[in-house]
Amino acid sequence: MLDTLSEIWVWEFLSRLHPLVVHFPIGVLITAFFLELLTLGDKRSELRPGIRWLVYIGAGTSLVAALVGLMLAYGGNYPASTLDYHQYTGIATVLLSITAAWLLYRADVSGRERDLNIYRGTLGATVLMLTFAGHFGASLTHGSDYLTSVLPWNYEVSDRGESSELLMELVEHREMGPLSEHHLNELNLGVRRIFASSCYRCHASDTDAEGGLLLDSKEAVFEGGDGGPVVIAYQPDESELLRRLLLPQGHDEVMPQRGRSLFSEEIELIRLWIDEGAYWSDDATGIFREAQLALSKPEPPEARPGLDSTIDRFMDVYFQKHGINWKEPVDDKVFIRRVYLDAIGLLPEPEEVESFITDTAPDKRDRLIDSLLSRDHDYAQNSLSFWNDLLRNAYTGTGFITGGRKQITDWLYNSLEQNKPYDQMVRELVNPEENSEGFIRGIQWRGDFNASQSTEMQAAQNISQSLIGVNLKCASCHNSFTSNLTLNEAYGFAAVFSDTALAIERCEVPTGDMAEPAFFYSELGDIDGSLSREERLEKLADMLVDNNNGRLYRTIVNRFWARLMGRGLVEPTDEMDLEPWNQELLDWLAADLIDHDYDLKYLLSSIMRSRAYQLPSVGMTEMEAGAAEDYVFSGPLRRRMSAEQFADALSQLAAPVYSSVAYDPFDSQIAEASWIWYDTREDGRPAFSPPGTYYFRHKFVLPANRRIEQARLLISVDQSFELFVNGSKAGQGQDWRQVERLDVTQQLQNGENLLAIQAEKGGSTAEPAGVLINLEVVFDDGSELEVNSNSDWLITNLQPEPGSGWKSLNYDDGEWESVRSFGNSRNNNYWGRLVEFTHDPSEERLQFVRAALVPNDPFQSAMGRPAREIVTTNRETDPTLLQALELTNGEFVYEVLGRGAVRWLTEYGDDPDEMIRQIYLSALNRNPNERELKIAGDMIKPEPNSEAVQDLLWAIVMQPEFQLIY
Amino acid sequence: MSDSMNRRDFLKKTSAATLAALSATLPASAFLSGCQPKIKSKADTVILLWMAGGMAHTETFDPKTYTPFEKGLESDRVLSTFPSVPTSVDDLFFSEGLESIGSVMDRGTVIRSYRAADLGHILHSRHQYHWHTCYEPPQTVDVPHIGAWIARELGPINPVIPPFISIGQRFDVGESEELKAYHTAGFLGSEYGPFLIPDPSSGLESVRPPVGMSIERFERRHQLYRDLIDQSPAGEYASDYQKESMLRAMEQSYALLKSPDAEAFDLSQEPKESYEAYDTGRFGLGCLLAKRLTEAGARFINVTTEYEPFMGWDTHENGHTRTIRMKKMIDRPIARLIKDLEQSGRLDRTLVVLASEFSRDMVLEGRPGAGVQDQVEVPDVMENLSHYGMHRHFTDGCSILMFGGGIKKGAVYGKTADERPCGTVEKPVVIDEIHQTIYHALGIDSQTNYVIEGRPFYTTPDGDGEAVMELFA
Repeated sequence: MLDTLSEIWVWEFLSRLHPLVVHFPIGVLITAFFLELLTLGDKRSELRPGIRWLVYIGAGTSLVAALVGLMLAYGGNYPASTLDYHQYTGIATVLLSITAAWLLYRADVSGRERDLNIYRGTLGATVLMLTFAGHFGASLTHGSDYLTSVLPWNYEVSDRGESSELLMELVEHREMGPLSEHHLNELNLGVRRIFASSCYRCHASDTDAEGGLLLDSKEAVFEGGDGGPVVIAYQPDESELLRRLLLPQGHDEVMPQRGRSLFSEEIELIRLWIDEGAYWSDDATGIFREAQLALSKPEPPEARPGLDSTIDRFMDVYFQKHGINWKEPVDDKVFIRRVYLDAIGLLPEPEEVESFITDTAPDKRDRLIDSLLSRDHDYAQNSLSFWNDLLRNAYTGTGFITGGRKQITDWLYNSLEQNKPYDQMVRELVNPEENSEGFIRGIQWRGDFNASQSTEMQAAQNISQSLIGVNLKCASCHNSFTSNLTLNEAYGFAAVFSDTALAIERCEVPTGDMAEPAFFYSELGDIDGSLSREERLEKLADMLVDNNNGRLYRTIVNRFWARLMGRGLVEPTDEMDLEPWNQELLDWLAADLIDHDYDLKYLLSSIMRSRAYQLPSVGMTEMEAGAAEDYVFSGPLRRRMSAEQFADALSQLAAPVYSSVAYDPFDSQIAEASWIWYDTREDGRPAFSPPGTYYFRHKFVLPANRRIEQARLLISVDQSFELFVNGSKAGQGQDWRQVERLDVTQQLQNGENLLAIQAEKGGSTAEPAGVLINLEVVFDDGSELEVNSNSDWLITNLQPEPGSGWKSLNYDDGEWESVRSFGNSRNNNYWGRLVEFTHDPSEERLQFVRAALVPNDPFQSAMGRPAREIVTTNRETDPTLLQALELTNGEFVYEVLGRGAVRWLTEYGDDPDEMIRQIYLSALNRNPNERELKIAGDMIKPEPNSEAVQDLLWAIVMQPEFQLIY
Repeated sequence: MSDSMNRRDFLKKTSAATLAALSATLPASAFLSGCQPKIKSKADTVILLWMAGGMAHTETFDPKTYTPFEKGLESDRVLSTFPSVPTSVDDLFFSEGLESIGSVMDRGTVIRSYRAADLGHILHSRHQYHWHTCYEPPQTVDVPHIGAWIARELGPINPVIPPFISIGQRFDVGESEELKAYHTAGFLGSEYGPFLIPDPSSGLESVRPPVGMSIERFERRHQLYRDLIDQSPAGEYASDYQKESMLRAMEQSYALLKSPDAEAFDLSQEPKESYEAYDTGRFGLGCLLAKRLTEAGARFINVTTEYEPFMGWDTHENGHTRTIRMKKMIDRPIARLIKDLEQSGRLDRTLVVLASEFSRDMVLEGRPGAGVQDQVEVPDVMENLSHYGMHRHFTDGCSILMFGGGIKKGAVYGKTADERPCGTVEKPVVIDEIHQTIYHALGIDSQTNYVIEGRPFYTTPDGDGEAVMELFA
């Protein structure tokens, strides 16, 4: 009904009176409240009659305001939840005010002090409720962050904090006397940083200079624009610049015309600067902070008893400065789990925990660290994810389809497994061999692309970001607004990688200049433009790994610190020009890495051995700590397992999550065969086949004159199958990841043989399906013969007549069709390299396929594994609804835990209590307490079944205690 | 949205507030400048009907002179392979086979002047990336899909329905990695990423316990989880924030599973008549699911005819025959969707957009004069019916439909030439404008941005996208 009412203009007019009317009760009730306060303690009773009227009027008008408000709510478009709050608090205000009025009336009648106090309390509550209602109302009309957006803790960009800090500091100094030259310098740089981030877009010398105004040089600033000077020293109020900044939003002349308005602190800083004479610093350095190129060589502080590691000696000084006391290191149980996950990415087995705890050697932690780091493959497979993120290396992704991208996985894995010195790794990335060239080759899509995304520019950007912690992305389009880097410097660096001369483009428009090859830290040397590309890359590699290039080493030690501690000494870790919270320690770590032959395992080990690493973890997320400007280290952050670590932990606790790899470090002898299925076509194009049952036949001949010594068969079918050899059933399966190994020596014969398969694909949509088979026959003379699934096989989607004998040799399959191959066992898009598809499993292989070796999938993606389309140095760790849905409803985890339950039942089915204990020991490295034992016992006792165990496993792996690294 | 609250919470804790000191120097203008007029929204929900693979405008919503097939016909003589048919709007004609959509055109607008970007070489997924993100790939940061921006800016309408839902696309087909590259929330964070439902008829499975798990067992499992958490001594280890946020996510997904609103995902709840009216295959059922989810309170829904190289609208040969099939697939369900939304009163607050990455032409590749390399062999003279159709990729004039959400009814916007090249001749629109038009309808300001790596990244490049105000009533 109200909907139709709002159509009538009178109602609509009335309803819009709400904002007008509401202010009346607000004013009246609040005044009443304050007057009431004045009467406390039996004072000023002469106010009473006035207050009485105020309360009555307030109650009455609030009722009117609420009624017109309700009309407005049904006629307008406002966010529902805020509207609800406003409505409810508004109605509550009305009820409270009417109650207060009645209570006041009652108190007047009774004259009792107690009644008066009840009334006073209610009036107070009314005013409080009114405040809430008013706030929500203002949120509706002004936006929910109208009020809070000006609070300093809600600043979205750090510029504001920086400007306000500087402003406060300078204002303070000014009160004590004239500003020193140092402070004038600071003031000027602060103002120029504001110009850079907010004005350079239109007013820098590489732009069209809107209004004839440039703000990036002293002369230009004082010369002003087409309309005359914009800055008049000592006269802020006469300066056009300030006038424009202070105009209301939407005004034709307001500045900036584009992007966000300046924060008030920034405007005040500019005002102060003009007021102080618009001093222009002639310092040659850039306007943004830059880290020193070379490392300072800080002398480690004196050792103190109990603090042997040099890291701890630096930290001790730091702690003293911040008034922090050393906490006790974590106990053995917490330590072993932490160091296992950090060093090799696996959970410690219960026996390993037990023997570590009972070990009494004083250096057992150091020995554990070193023994873990010496598990080369485990170490490599855990580290691989970090490096893949950093170097944008992936098994799948854009660009591969047209050959516009190349993996470096083989190079990377071997570098990690062999613990290649870091300087050598950098050399090989920048001046690559064939198997490491993918890094600087970038990703190339077919067609035109932005000049700032040429593969040469990608190489420059990625080296800058990944290896030396500098953001070149802004400067590859125009002079950076956030750093001192220029467009020319970005192009100069890109030109190093280019075969041809690079034309400089500013925001996609050619400037007419050609780039000269150069690295922007020219202190490290020149790159002669006449050199060939190979020579240039070699020279660049020399310059990058030069020990004087402290940035390279600071960047990597900072990243490793962040890996282990959750937050870098500098944060974000890609912005190494920012100030570290412990410069001496950062520089010492970098220098120490150089002194130890660039040994990355040494670096990990020395951090892990420190007491700083072994402190109790701090309950802050990486995001919190990363954004905290006044972060103080007091221990490693509590981190969440990575997607890969979580998957591997499931493999350990339940059942192997993966069975095929994208990259195979062990060179498994995977048998040759093709994945075959029905050749469905749509419009003549290959398509996936609809779900259903399909029939396969393959005839082959074994030579007559040799005896069959042994015949071994491997089969894997997506999704289920029954296999017949010469008419008799030889095997079946429902899971392509479970390779069936069959001995069919007895079923084969000399001469003609037949393999027949009935295979089925379920589901509701057409999806990849396939049969993979390899038969290896060994004869008595030692000769061998191999039969495998390939394009010679025949298939039909029509069910053969029962009794037609389609499973045996003598059957007319003339109507059957040829299969289509979907790739072979070693290289295909749908199933990967199924490592179990081998007749001779290698000894060296680990017990299960680690998640880092498989392509990204919806499960890992939901758990935060990035797509690696760009360099990623900061994974998302916050839980999301989509992730929770994957974990609670997803078939993926459910299926893995189902297999895990079967395994646990087989081993401990007859002793449920022991099963629970062992699950806790494996999952959480501790015994269950009595309550847990009881709750879990109630779930699975008396007769454990696989569903109950599956659900117990689920409830445990979902615990924060399982998923967090303490 | 809860995420942004968390960000604020911790900043509150960590950054030392010096409000008092500052307030002394705050000029009044700072308060006034925050008082920007807000755009009044015209729509709450967006449904994007995606014609994947390049839908020829001259064969659908912008027909030209019809030339029937005959052996020996010269390719460059053919502009349309279908006759035109009238629509419910005077003087507005569509291509034969789109009569149902034609009958609801009095509820919407056809834009005939969309110009796709000239990316130098036709790669469907690149143009699709551009259409869905407003940015040309590659980019130096992970760019969000328009649905993710909307999810972040407006949040869910119904807390148990994910705000960004994508229906109908499988990711194991060709160019799948390129498809994944734009089906993402990018730097906004996966919280705003797409909830993927490749097969609409099994949409319910994505919000139900795993197959084989009864509701009772699901409840028991969840209870066990809660009981064990209460007992875990991890309380002494885990920070409240991390633990709470993990628990919250789990409780949220539990709420969705338990919520009666989850039935919106279940197409079997739909009356038989309605189900059959929509059922032209996965796309039609996708439209039905979109209708149900809109009613339940979804924010952004993408329904695609599905992109698979050389399939669907990607007609490299046999175009005429295949276009007949594609029209059958889309015509009935789309018209029904518009009518159903209208009937339930939701069309006014729902913006329905139909679009494709570019158009097609029989002889031109790319756009006139662009010199784009031909990708399809087209004979000068047709020998058989398979040569008859729009087989090359054309970017200079494409059609877009818009319904509801404050869009004009029964209107035509822009114009293409009636002779080859049938490119845009009046009121060209580009993707930045289309995006900003959609944002505008939702009340999202053109300067909306996210600061990534120290610079603001806008919903449209540089925040320059302008809404086409003429499209609105």
